[in-house]
Amino acid sequence: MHHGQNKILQIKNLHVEFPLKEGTVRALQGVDLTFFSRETLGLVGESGCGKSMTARAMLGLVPEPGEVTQGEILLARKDQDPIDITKLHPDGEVIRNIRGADIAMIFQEPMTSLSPVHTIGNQIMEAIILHQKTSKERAAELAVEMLQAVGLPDASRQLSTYPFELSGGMRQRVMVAMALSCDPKLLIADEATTALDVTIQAQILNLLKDIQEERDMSIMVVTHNLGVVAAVTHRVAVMYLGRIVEEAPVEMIFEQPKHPYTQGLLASVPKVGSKVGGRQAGRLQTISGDVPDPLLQVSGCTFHLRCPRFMRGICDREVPPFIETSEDQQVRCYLYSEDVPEAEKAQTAGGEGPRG
Amino acid sequence: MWAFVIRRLIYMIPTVFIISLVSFIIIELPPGDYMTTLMASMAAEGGEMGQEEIEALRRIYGLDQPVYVRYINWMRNIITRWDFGYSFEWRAPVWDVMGSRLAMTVVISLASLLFSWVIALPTGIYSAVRQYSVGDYIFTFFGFLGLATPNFLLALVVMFLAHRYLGLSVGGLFSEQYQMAPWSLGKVVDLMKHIWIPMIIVGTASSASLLRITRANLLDELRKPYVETARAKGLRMWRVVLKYPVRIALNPFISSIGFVLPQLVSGSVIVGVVLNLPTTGPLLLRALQSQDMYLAGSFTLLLATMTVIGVLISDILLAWIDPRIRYD
Repeated sequence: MHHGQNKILQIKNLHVEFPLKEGTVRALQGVDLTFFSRETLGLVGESGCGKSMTARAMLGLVPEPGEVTQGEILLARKDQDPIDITKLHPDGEVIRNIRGADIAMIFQEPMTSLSPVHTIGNQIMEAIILHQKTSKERAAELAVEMLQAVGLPDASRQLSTYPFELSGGMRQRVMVAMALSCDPKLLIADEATTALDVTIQAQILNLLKDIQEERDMSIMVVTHNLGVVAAVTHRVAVMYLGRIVEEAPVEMIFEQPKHPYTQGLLASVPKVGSKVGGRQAGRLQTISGDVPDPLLQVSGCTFHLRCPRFMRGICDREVPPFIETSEDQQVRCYLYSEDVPEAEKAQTAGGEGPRG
Repeated sequence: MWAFVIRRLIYMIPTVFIISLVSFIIIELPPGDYMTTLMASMAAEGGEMGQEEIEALRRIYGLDQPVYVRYINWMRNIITRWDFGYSFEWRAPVWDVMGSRLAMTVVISLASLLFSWVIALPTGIYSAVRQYSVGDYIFTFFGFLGLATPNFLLALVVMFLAHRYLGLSVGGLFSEQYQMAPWSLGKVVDLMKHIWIPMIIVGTASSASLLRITRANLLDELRKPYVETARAKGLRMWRVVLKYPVRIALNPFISSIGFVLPQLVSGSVIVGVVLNLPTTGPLLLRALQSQDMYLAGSFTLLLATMTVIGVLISDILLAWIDPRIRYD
């Protein structure tokens, strides 16, 4: 599957915890992800599931008082052993040289993610001067080239404009130009199109696709929008409460979702022309229950509290391991485990899980 | 940018006009005039003034004319001859009485403004970036102490300490030998020796409030997404803080330029009295008490005008550092 593509970054068993007065919040409870060149990985899940935390950890930007308590994030380097980002000082030189240059990020809010009092040129050139050690004049030329590449009209004049003078879509193009200015190997788009109009969303997503083909870049799209996932990703990782519960090529996720959470997520998307949610027309199917209190420690599979196919004594004991259901699809669910008797699985089929 | 400056300059004209009118009316509001005060003080000393004598004096000083005539004459003389009228109590032209005091007021204002910036900016930034650290708690403690202590009390304490333990002559801005001397290098050095006490006292309260404002503003700004964007570019934390959030949290510093003058005039009259400063505060207080109306009116007018200019300067600076204001 991944022949010809280089492994760029690998996250292994990543744990991030926030020690708070009220208790410890386990934001990430063992995340595993691998990023390949020329591939777009979609990371999906409800808000609060740890998508953005994963993205921040990859840049060594876990906000205080959070800390990585376990696991590693290995960044491949040319002619050298991979480097573990979690071991680096968060404001040290090594991680600062990685940020923006090897791994770049496009943030959610194009309005607030740019400084309101600095010109666009200033903000783009800053990264170029920092990482490529060029003169100001050369940085300005590169910035204009980048702005042209992302389709900003009249690019050279835009260097002296301020973010508030541009529309949301234009601002997000500037963010893309800024992120791409130092030719990163991995681009993280954290809800990069969520705040935009649908038509602008499509433009930005197509732009990312084109640039990826040009530059052999790896992209991670963090989103809760399954439309975006279908449009641009090659592979999808579904996240629930700090863990990846299913990972597969995008077609398999949509056509044969394995994890009950993935199935629920897909069923809750309205579809034109079909019976909504596949049940009764007029009402969308939802996943029962709420996301549990982040301070609560859920034993076993974190989804078992809401799972329609919960198996008592199995799902609430141990965290399910990744089970390969086919060559390229893996899922953390006991329903696919050979160790669990078929009778147990059959009992839950079609039944309602416990609520709450 | 220039259009903005010119527009603001034009707005200034009606503002100053209205201020002059209002200050004149306010001074006219209390019943009686300087003659009433004069009669009262004469009576207290046992002397007496004839009704004719008083009427004659009123005519000489123009006090018998209606208010609007006096206002027009006063304004005309200011505009055409820089003549602010005559101080009854000092028996001298107002400008002669007021000029040097106004200059000293500006000097002390600027000194205490600088003092409060130098104290508040670094401590405010530190307190915000290292929120809830030991340093933050120490600065917060002194900040509240500075806010809560009345200035005149602080003045007394500092005077006592400086006199008792440092052996410094306190009070006033000059030593005796320079009091009346013309300006010289020696006099400037002497001023430098004296100015730090009023500078610290007047500056303390404003540094304390500026510190709190900086800390609160910066805490807000530090959580804004653009800080994360800048860090994700690979910039060093301190460089990010100084270039982005501090720049935006700086607005209150610039705004404080406009308010330092009225603060010094109204807020620190008592400090001026306690420290025997040759500033406008004590003089204005006395002029108001004795209904020395041209002196009081000119003070109010000039201080208000300087405040308007101060606000103008801070507005122009704000527009200069914050493009969003400029384009409104």
